[in-house]
Amino acid sequence: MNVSHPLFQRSCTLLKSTQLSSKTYQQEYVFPELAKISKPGQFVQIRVSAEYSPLLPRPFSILNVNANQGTLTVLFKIFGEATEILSRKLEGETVEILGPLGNTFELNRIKKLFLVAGGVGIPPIYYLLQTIDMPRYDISLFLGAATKDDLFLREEFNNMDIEKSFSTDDGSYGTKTLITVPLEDALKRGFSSSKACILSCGPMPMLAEVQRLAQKYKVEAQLSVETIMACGIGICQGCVVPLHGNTKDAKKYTLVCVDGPIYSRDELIL
Amino acid sequence: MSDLSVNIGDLRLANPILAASGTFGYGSEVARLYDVNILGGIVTKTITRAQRPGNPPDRLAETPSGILNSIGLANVGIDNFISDKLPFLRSLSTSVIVNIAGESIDDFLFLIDRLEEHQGIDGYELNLSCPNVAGGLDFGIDPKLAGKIVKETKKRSKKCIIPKLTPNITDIAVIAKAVEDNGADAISLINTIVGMSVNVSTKRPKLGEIMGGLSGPAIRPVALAMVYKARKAVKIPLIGIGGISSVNDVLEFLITGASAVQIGTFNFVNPKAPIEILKELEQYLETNNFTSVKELSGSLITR
Repeated sequence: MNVSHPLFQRSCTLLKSTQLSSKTYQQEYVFPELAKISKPGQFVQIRVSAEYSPLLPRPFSILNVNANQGTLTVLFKIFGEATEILSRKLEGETVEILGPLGNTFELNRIKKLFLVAGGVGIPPIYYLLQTIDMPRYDISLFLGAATKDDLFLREEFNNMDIEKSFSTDDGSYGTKTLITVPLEDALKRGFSSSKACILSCGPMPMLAEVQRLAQKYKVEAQLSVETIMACGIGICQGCVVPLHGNTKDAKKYTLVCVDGPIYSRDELIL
Repeated sequence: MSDLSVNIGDLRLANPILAASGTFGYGSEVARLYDVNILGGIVTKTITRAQRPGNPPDRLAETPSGILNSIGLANVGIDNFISDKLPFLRSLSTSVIVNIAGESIDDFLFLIDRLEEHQGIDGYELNLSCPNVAGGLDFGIDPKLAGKIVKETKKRSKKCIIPKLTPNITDIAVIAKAVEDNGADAISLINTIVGMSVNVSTKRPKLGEIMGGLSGPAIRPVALAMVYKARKAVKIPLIGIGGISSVNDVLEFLITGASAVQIGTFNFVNPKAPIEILKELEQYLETNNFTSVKELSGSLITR
């Protein structure tokens, strides 16, 4: 697909910063233009500093927007210098934000949703659940992370009236297993394949397993990937992921920033 | 108001701020954010004879004040460029310079011949210097080859021919002189510097291609020194490139002898950087009572 929705870049004021766990932060910024048009699955580029280190902006999933108040919320874990700097921003400070970027989940004709999110892949799934009319769907949610601390927003998800399964690598919350194990159990139990779809976001190894399971149980899937990225708008050609050769125009790579980050089940070599 | 226009051979640019090849796509990407006609010019992504998918990932790694890349001249190829990308570029009032690369002199001539059939192109930048592609660098380090490409391309087009030189060379003055002697209208410099970075926890290079090209503010002093050396060696206009991020950086290049500059990596950092810098340049010229930006070019005092 070719992204052509409006794009905005501006200096955004930090309204509220909340530390969720030792390394996790949720921050709400003023960005009215974006809040009006952004959709679940899209992301923003945040330049955390006007200095040369870190030089590049970093991509962040959108956790939620409030169109009435004109705000954008992101949730992130401190991974390196950029996220460390962002975590220290004080309310009232500004950062440069570019967005909304990328494509969105497509729910047309889908009735049964398997939502599979791991670690920092949780925000887009949360955003999606905030925007859809949940009773219209049969939803099974699978949330996984390394530890309880990384299982972001678990209380918010717990309060949702949907079927859910939590897992952690160390067993500190939910079942001690990989998220794809309960997913496979659920797929084995059966579903109406014509109206079912897996929507997933998380680390590449998890997505590769989700892709394999979706193919094995013949269910559609939309996979949201994360890559190294520089510009976010298709000018640097840096954020590529290899495509399966049988795609329409026989391209070898896809640009995640403008063609993704969400791809259908069989498009990518993961 | 100060006169911002500059001349690059027969080409008159409305102002000296251009967007560098490989950092501005085909123009339409950034046009989503602002009116790119404000720029002095756009240099397109390098176009090759065949479509190129580019190198395997990872293609990017951030380094101190810079970026390493091994994109590998990923581009749509000449046919798709003409059918899909050129119509938008043609609609612009800003100057459009098409950057081309080939594995042989014949490739360069083929590309020029194809592009000469179409309107909307103001000049050609010859990529003699991509470190990420076999063959690309050879033209840039061999003065005879570089000179020959310029001479042959000049025969095929009356438009501005601007070779873009590599810094990965012993003496850039030799190449600069060779391309000038063979009729180059101007010189763009520099392309990226060969570099490498390693992830110590995995013991793997950070780039899929192991080595790549370094760009960004980290290379600015190197670029400036190359402009200085080239300025002493040739009379034709120079277009300075290398880590430009502010009006101060632009002034450094102009004072050292560049007639114009290209903003590259900073487009990734802040896509609006070129128009913000242009505004600051206008203000600087006003404040300091310059009637023309040309007065700055080559005003370096060395004694």
